[in-house]
Amino acid sequence: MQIKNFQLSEDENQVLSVLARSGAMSPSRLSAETLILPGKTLELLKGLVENGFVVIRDSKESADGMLVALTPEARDFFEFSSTWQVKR
Amino acid sequence: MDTIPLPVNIPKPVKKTRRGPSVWTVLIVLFLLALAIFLVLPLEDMSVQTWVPTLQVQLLTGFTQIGPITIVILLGAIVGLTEIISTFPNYPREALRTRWAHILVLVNASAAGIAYLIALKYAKPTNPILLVIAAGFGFQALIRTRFTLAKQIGGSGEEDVSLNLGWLYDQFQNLSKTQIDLELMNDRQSAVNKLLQRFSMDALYNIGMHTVLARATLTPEEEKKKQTELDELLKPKVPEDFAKASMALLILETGGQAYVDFLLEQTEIALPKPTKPESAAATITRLAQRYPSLQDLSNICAYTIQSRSNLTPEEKEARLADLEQLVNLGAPADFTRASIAQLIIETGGQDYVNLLLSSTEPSLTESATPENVVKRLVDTYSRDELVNFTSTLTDSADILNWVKKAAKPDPNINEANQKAAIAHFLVYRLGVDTVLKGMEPTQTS
Repeated sequence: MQIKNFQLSEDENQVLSVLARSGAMSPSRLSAETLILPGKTLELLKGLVENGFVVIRDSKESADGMLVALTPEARDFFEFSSTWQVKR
Repeated sequence: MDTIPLPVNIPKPVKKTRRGPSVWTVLIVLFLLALAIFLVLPLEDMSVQTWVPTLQVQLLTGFTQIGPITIVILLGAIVGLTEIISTFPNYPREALRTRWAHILVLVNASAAGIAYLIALKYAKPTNPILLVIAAGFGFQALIRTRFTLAKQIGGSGEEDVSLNLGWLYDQFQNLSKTQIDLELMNDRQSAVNKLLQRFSMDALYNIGMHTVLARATLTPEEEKKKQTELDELLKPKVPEDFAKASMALLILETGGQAYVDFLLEQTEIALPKPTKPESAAATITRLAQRYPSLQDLSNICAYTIQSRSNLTPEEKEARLADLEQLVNLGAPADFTRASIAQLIIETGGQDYVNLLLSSTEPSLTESATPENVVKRLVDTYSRDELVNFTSTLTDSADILNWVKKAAKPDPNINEANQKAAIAHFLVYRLGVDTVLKGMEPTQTS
């Protein structure tokens, strides 16, 4: 999946930074770490999934039954870029 | 990641106390050094016992005779070792420790030694160094050689007429390889099982990524390939159990057995050392609190009495009668529970009761990890109760506001996810200990 040209919001930037720093985690933990409210976090994640930044999957061990991680493309991009901001 | 979810009831790895290989190496080197000094000393010029120079001469003669065959045997063993290492490049150390690896090395060493002895007996006298090399390497090459006598023109090679001197060795080598692989598979399975028990999928994924990046021996292409493997496993279509097992296997293959052992050891939680013995009154209180139901407590007491082998049938009967009397006394419930608890301690003993309590208490690992505390919060409280619970833990307006906002009904998210987020938030902001302490009244009521 290719990452589309996408203008990241501050919250999206924060979500991706935490995922890049800490690795895969549950959306609820992501919400707690970013201080973004859970409903808003899920909404952000759905947008990021559509644009190829993250992947969400089921996980029965997680308290909210889900797991989120960066896609390889997003990870590569993060490795070669000092900022997540993508120019349109 | 900051925290690694830890296991539930994982058996502790057995730690074997054994003398390190370095000690044995030093001892062997010292022995060889002493032997070498003894052999080269000009003892005939010294005033020593008469048997000492004789022993020196005998040893020198002996070494001159067995030296060549020792070298040949060593060369054969080296060839066997090389074969195993090249066949199992991912697990060389583990492969060399297996029983069939020892057999393969032994066969190679013995075959080289026998070839040397035969050559020594039947071949024309020749340079001993040449004979050693011929037997040590030449014979090994010969038993692995296939001579093609007639080659099919333009064929694939299958129809060639050939003399395969190595057929027998091939069979043996295949057998050894299969057996070593089976032994390794058992070890791998055990290591993978432990990883699966100890780590959740996100932890395995993160450890896998870290392991791949940490290995200095991987080329950038190999690194990329393994990262892609991990990413593929994380895709929603891959079943969770399969994904976890494959991630664990990748960690094992990339990091090796020693690395996995290290990982497992690092995530062990040290059990608290026993403190001073608990008073009988404290044990009674704990027992009564652990089993608030009078029925449960009296059943345990009855079972304890019945199962004690050191009591005579009369004593058992008397204690059961006491129990019945206590239950039917109509006394206040607290008094009855405490009395039955005391009867259990008197009958079973302090150690028995400690065991009883520890087996029913949540395990240390279960209660101490953030992930487990989050799950317990989610299981114990409703969304609104979590808000109230937060207010009992802290006065911080920031925290209370965030929790209240997070708990507001939202069409984009279900209640379970809201609860999980609040639970993570509380553990993340207030710490495991504070949250657990706040939960205590709920757990014991």
